[in-house]
Amino acid sequence: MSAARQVGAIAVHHLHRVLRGGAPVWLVVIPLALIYVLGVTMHGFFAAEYAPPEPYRVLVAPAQGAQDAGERAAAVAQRAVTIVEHVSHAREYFSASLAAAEQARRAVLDRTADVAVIVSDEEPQLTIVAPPESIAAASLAHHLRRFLAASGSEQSGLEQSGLEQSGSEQGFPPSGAAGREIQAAAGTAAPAGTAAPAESMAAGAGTNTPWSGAGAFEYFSIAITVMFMTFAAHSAMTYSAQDRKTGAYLRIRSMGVSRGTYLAGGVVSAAAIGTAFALTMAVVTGALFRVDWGDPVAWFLMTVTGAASIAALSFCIMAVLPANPKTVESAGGTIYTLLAFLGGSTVPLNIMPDWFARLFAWLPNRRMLDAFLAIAQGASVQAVSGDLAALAGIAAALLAAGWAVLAVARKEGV
Amino acid sequence: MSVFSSATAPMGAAGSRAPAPLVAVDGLRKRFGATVALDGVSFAVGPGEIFGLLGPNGAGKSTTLAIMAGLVRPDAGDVHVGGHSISRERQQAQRLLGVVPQGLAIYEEYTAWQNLNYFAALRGIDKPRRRRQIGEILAITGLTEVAHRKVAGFSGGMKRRLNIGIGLLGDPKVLLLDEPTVGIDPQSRRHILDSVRRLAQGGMAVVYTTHYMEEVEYLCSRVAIIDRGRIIAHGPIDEVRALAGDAVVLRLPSPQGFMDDPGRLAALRRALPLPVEATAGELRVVLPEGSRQAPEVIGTLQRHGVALDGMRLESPNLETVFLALTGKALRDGTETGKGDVE
Amino acid sequence: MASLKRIAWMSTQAALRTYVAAESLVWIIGMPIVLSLVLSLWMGGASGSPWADAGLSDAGIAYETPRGDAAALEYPAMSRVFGVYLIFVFSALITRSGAIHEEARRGTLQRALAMGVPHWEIVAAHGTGLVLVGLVQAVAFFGVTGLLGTPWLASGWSAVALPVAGAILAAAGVAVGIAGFVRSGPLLQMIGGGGPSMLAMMGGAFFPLDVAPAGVQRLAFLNPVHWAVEALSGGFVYKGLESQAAPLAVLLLFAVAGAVIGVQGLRRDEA
Repeated sequence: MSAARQVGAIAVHHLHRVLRGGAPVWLVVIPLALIYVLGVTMHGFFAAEYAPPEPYRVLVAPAQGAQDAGERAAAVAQRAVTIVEHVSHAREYFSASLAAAEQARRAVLDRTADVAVIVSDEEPQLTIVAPPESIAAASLAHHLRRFLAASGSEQSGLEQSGLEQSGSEQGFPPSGAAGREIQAAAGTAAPAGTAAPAESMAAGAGTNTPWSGAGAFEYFSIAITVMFMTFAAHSAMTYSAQDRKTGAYLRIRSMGVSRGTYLAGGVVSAAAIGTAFALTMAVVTGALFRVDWGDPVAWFLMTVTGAASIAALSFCIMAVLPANPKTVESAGGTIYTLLAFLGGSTVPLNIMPDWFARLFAWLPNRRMLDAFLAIAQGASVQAVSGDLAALAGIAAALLAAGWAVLAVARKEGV
Repeated sequence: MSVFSSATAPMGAAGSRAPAPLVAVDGLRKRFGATVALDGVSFAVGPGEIFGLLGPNGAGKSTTLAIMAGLVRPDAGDVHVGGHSISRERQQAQRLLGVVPQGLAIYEEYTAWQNLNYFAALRGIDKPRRRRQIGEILAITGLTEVAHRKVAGFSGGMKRRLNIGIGLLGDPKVLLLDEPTVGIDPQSRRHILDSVRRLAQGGMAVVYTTHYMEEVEYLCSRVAIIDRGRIIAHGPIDEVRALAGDAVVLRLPSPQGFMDDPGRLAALRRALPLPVEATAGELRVVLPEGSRQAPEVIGTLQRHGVALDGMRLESPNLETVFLALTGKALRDGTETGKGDVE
Repeated sequence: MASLKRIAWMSTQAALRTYVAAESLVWIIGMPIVLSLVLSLWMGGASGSPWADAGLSDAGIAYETPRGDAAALEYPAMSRVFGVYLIFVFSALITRSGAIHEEARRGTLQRALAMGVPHWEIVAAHGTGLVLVGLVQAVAFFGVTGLLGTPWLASGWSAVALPVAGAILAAAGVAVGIAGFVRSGPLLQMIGGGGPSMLAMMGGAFFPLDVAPAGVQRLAFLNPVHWAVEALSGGFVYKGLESQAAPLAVLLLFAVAGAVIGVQGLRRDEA
C-alpha cells in the first residue's frame, strides 16, 4: 500500500469515527440553531433602518425650579411642549408626553418610561434621564441635538415647525445610523454626528470592512460556520490522540505505516471534515436563510485552505499536549472558543472597537471570516488571494512547528 | 432427553450442611421488559462459607447480586441478610453487607486512601475508627505502600484490590463479590483469592460470582450453577461435580481452518449427537457415558477431517457439568451441538 | 443529621473532584476570566455612558442615571463581564450535571446506594455540589476580575452578590432539570457548550434587547439569563433591592422548578 493510500485510509477511518460519534447532530443542528437565534435576535442590529418593536416611552418635563410662575417658567414649559410635539413626529420610535420633573424621573426609575427629558432654561438645556445603555436615549439624543442646533434659544415656532418637517422627511434615524445608535448605547461608539471625542471612539464599523454590508443572517451563517469548522476539524484530530493513548497507533505503526503517514492521515481527515462541514453549511444556510456564499471557486479555495490551516493548528495542539484525548479535546474546545470570540464569530465585529478588529485580524479563523464575507459580497479569487496565501502560510508554519515538537518529544523519549 | 436433565433441580436443602444462614435468597424473580433475568433463584449462605454463583455472561449472576445489595427491586421473592429483609428493611440489611461490584467503582482522580476515606464516611464510620480500618484494609489488599498515589496510575490488579477493599469497609458480615478478578494478572488474582479465603475464615459469609470455574473450585465449599435466570445445579462442589456421572470430556486442538468454516462444524454436530463446544483453540466433546463412547466419536471426528494430534480425555469438572447441563460453554455462552441431541 | 452530614460530605467531595481536574479549572475558571479580560480591555476605553465624556454638554444635553448616582455609570463596563460570567456559570453547571450519570456509569453511585445511602441524598448532594462548584467559580471570577478593575462593589455588596447567588441557584436548578432527562455525557457537553451562549444573546447579556424583535423580547421572560441581567441592573441602575426582588424571585423559581423536574427524572434510576 502506498503512503498516499495509507493516508487516505487513515483519514477515512477518522472521518467515519467522527460521523459515528453524533457529529451530524452537533455539527449541523447546533450551528443552525445558533445562526437562527442570532440572526433573528440581531436582525435590528445589522439593519440599515432600525425601528423598535414598540415605540419608546418618553416623558418630557420642565425642570423642577422652572415650574414657578413667571416668564422664564412659561418659556420653559412652552419649550417642553414643543419638544413633546417634535419628538412625537417620529411615531415609530417614540411616544412622548408631558409630565412633572419628579414624576418623569420616578417613571424611569420604576421603568414605566424609557427616557425622561428634563427641560431647563439654563445649561444644560436638556437633561436626559435613562439607564446607561439605553438605545432609546441614544436615539432621542441624536434627534434632540439636531433640534437644539437648529432652533437655538431664540428659535421661532415657525422655524421649529420647519425642523420638524425636515426631520420627518429625512426619516428617523437617518438611514444607516441604526448600528451607530446601538453602538452608542453599548458604549463603544457615539451616536452619528456627535462631537469629536465620541467619534474617535467609533467602533470598527467603518464603511470599508468586509462585515459592514452584511445582514445578520449572512454574517452569522459565515461566522458560526467558521467557528464550527474549527470544532469539526479538531474532533477528527482528537481521534489521533485517542489512538496514541489506546495503543491503536502502535498497532498501526507495526503494520508498516510510517509515523509521518499516520500523522498526515490525521491532518487530512481534520481538513476533510472541516471542508465537508463548510459545504454542508453553505448548502443548508443557502436553502434556509437565503445566504449567498458568492463565487463557488473562490469559496472552495478558501474553504480548503482555511480547513487546512485549522487542521494544522489542531495538529500543533495535539503535538504540544500529552497523549490524552480528553486533554486534547478540552484544550481544543477552550482554544477554539477563545478564537471564536476574538475572531468575531460569537460577538459580531461591528460592535467591537476598531483596535480590537485590527489586533486579531491575523488569526486564521478571523482571516477566514473576512474572506468569506468578502466572497459573499462579490469578491473574486484574486481579491482574496492575499487571505489564501496567508492561510496557506499559517498552515505550513503550524505543521512544521507541530512536527518539530513531536520530533523533540520522541528524542527525549516522551 | 439428556442424561443430565434429571439433575437440573437444586440438590438438597440449601443450608442443610451449613450453619444457620446469614443470607437467604428466596424465590427471586426479575424481568427487564420481555427478558426474564431471574426465574425463581433461591439459596442460602452461612457464616464462614464461600458460596460460588457460577454461570456464563448474562446468566443472571449480577442481577442476583444487585437485588441482594438492594440496588434492584425484585418482581417477586426476597433476600434476608442477618434476618433483615432487603425489601422492607433495606438500610439495616445493607449495613451488614459489603459489595464489590464487577466494574471498578472507584475514583481514579483520588488516591487509594482518599477512595477508602470517602466511602468510609458514607458508610458512617467515625474518624478514629475510619483511620484504623483504612489501615487494615490497605494491609489486607497489599496497597499500603501506594496508599497516597493516585489510582489513575495503578495497574489493573491494584485497582481490583482497591475495589475489593472498599467493599470491606464497615466490617460487613456478608461480602458480595461480583466477578472480582476479571482482567487481572495471575499474581493479583491469587492475592485476591487468598484474601477472600482469609475473610471467610474470619466468619464472613461470601457470595462469589464468576465464570471461572477454577476459582470456584479453589474457593467455594458450595456452588450454584445459574443459566438464563434459573439455578440448574446447586450444592456442595463434589455433589455438583458428580452430576456429570460417568461423563468425560474429549479435548483436542482445533485443526487449522476447521473453526473458520461454520459449514464443517455444523456437519460435525449433525453427525455427532453429543454436546460439542467449539472455542478458538479447542474442540471439546462431552461423552456422557464415559470413555467407552470414545472410539465411535473419534471415528466420526476423523471422517470429518479433524486431526487427532494432542487429543486427550479429561475427568469432569464444573465446566463439564455446565456444558453437559446447558449445552453451552461456560466462558462465552457459545451454543454447542447439545440442542441437536435433544 | 446523619443525612445532612452525608450530603455535605458528598457535595464537597463532588466539588473537589471537579476542581482537581485541570481541564475543569481551565474551562470553568480560566476561560471566563480570560474572556472577561479581553472584554474589560474593550470596555476600558468606553466606560460609562456614551454621554459621560463625549463633550455633549456643549451641545446642551446632559445625561443622568435613573437614580442620579455615578455608580450606575459603571454598569456598562461590568454588564458584559457579567454576561461572560453568566455563560460560564450555566455552561459549567449544565456540563457538570452529568456527573451523576458518570457516577452511575462507573458504579460509584451504586456502591453508595449499596452502602445504605438513600437515593434522594445522592441527588441532593449532586445539586448541592453543583451550587458549590458555582460558588467556587464565582469567588474566583469576581475576585480576579474585581482585582483587575471591574467595579463590582460600586453599588454595594447586594447589587452584585444577589444576582450572582440567584444565577448560581438557577443554573444549578436548570442543570439538575436537564440531567434528569439527558443521560448522555456528550449531549450534555453540547447543551452546556452552546445553550448558555444562546441564552445570553437572547437574554440581553451583551446588547440591549431593544434591538431584538418583539417575539424574542417576550421569550426572554422564560430565560434565566435575562432575569440575572435584570437583577444586576436592578441593583446598579434602578432601585436596588426593591428592583432586584422580582428577578431574584424568578431565578429562585427556575431553581426550584428545575430541581423538581430533575428529581423526577433522576428518580427513575432509583431501585
